[in-house]
Amino acid sequence: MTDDGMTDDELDAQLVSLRARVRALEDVELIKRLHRTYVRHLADPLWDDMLSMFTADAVVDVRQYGVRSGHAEIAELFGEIRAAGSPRDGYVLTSPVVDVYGDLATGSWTLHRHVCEFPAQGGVVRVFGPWWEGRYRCTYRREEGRWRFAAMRFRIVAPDPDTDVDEAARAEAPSRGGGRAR
Amino acid sequence: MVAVPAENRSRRPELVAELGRLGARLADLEAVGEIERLHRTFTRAVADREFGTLSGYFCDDGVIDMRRHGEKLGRNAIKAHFDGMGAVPLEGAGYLLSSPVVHVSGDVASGVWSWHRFLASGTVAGRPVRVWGVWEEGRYRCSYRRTADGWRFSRMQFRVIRPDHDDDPPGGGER
Repeated sequence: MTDDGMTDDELDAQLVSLRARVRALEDVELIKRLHRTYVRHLADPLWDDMLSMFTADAVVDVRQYGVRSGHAEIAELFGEIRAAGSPRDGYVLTSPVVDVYGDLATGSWTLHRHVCEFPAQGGVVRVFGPWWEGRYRCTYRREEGRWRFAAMRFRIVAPDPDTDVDEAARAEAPSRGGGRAR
Repeated sequence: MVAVPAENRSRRPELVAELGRLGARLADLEAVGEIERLHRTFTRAVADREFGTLSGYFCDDGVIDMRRHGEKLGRNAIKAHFDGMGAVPLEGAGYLLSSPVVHVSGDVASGVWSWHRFLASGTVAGRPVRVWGVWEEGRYRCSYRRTADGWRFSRMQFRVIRPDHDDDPPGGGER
């Protein structure tokens, strides 16, 4: 019995509960860290550091690029986005809602992208003001003690939603166009 | 010597040790929260132009490396730097601090943040006008230290990185 009158078994039960609560808080923090670092790498851009943030069997579904599965296809996706150029856009990632279920977790986030450079007459013109709002809906999985993306879906929701992307995907094969979408 | 049957041995030392480990993990989580609070409060003070208070967020031997101003070492130099910001007119700017990634190791920590400033004023023919849309993106890369007065910045590096990078040569250029 402890000084506060608890038996070892009662203390053990409290520790089990406390351990689970601390672990859940740590996991949420680690997952936030993962997603924030991913978007910062996307913005900067640091492509070489991004692939290892995904599980080997991860499924990524980003805008008009179509669904990609596994590291090889995700690397190909990054290559296509990279080839589209590195615009000087601003990225603001906010409002995480993360739920952890053991070694799996889900998360939704809001992304705002501020665009300021547009091609014009062979050059680039800077126009401030345009922005997009997007949503990440992700699944994360813990492997060998490290959280990674197991599934990532991203769509622009405002001012012009990506609904046409999903409609087109339903109507025909996924397109894999270029553009500035990430 | 008489052996104590296993069922009668107290597991208390083992449980107390586990309690100590959990306490340390909880302390690290609390530290992340405290550091995020420090940095958010600092940035709000910048936005509110409370420049006279800013040096108080730093360790006595803190270092700052802000944009193109070079390194400043120690609280007095930091105070002088921030006091100078008061002379720079800037009205109607909005500040957004996001995406903290903070690592705590005992009484020291590191942190990376994204920063956005949304400007809303310009000058036309010598007169202030409202101009919407202009923004800047920046990065904080900081070290923090736990002091008797709580967490403080021990080092702060800040650069505006987009659309124009502070470290680009004057007149523009690619990085």
